[in-house]
Amino acid sequence: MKLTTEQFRESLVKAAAQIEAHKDELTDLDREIGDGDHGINMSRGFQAVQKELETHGAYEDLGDLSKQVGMTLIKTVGGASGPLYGTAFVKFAGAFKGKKEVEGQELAQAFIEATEGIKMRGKSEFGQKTMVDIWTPFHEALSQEADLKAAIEQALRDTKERVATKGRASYFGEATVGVQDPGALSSALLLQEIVEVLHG
Amino acid sequence: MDKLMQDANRFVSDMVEGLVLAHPDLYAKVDGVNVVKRKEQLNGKVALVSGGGSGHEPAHAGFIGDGMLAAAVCGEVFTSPTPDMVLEGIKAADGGKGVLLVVKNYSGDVMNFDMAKELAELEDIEVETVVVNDDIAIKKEEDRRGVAGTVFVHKIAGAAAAEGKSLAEVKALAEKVIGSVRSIGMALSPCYMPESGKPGFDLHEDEMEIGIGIHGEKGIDRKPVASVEAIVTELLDRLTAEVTDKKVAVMVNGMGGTPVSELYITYKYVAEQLKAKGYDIVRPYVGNYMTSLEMHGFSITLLPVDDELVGYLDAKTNAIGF
Repeated sequence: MKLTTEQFRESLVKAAAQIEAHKDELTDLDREIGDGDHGINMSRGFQAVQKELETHGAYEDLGDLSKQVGMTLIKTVGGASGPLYGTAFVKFAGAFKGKKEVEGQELAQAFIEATEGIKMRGKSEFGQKTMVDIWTPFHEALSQEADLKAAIEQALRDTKERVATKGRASYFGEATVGVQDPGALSSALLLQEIVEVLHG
Repeated sequence: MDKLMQDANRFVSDMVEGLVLAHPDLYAKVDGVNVVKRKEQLNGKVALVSGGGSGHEPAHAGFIGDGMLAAAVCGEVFTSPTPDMVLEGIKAADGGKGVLLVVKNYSGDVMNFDMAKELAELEDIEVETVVVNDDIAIKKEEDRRGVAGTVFVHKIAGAAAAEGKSLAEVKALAEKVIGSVRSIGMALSPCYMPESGKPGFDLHEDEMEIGIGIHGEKGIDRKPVASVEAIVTELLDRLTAEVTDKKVAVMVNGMGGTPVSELYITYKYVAEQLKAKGYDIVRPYVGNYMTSLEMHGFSITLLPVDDELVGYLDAKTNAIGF
């Protein structure tokens, strides 16, 4: 499985459409266990990303694309999601620097670094019912060359049943069991589109 | 829910413009971003910068003034401002003696202000951060939210900065306040997000939420509505379990949709019950300081004070919100 600059661009345009289609669902989930703005913030950010991707013209390489997307997210999303998604893409930018395409363990390594970036910025670990609970099984599946789509679906199911112990959702303790974490869902929407282009 | 707004997308920018137009002698807007600053640039003093999501007015821009904040960064409603915006606030505020960021303990605010601090240091501006976590509704101390107690941090640290104290001294004083200030809030009805038009939580007419935050998030306990006297008893029982120093400043803060009459009614019971518990209310504050759009409810804040803190609370400020 190989990721080219054009494929990455295409997956992000599709992810923006998915985020837009799920905007209300993300917001409603956030009303359950957060402050009810995740869909609104992610929509604003990914609409800006889509505009950036459609108007920028050709990107030099994967690193250049990742950097522009990361800066756009940092500037437009706000909330906790802006720095978290922004940091993930800034980490991609480092891992992809100067590369027009990546594959195999090099690709997996970029997702490991992005996940570590999210954990560092959010001071979070796997198992706290956050977006990390999607990104971690995803990069593990990528490293093991396992079924990526199945890994995301399983991670979503597992995350839904966990008790939130990080972020605003943690205020609600046990009441978060059975409610999907909105950041986990938005991460899944993004990563699913990356899987699509990898399989394409 | 109807709101007096042209467009949800312009809610914050229209509010910021209106605020600056209403106080042209005191406030100015930073070009291109929703950042409000002192009209008169600080010089040779430590500058305080705060901010966060909007919807808490008069916090934070209304606390800009002599002896309080030098700039406030106004994010979207209940959404942390982005690092580039906070950086603009830091640059606009800096008077050459360093900048203290007063951040409320929400993961988004903490992360965005942290990234801004990293960016400002690249531009050789000395920046320190304090994080306010006064909301005792949350059990785990590290997860406690920053709510109305933040206003006392602005006032006391701001007065110390105006007096010419160094960045380290101002930070230490802010941390002294943060270490002892405690708050808890309640709501009879929720607030409505400008964009989605949805309430932060669904609450039945005869229910109330205890332990609400200031972002329309649900409270920690939901109960049948009780009398104001009984509500005050419940909140004060929780607060006085944590604040044992008897000489205190007290704030009864409206959540935005509470008539001032009800705030004074509430304060009467707060004052009576605190007195009965042996507390000496040195400085009372009643009003709308840290709101949550049109939420109907209030919070109580207790701050143990000594002569030093009372001096800073009493120091003059022209900030419109204090």
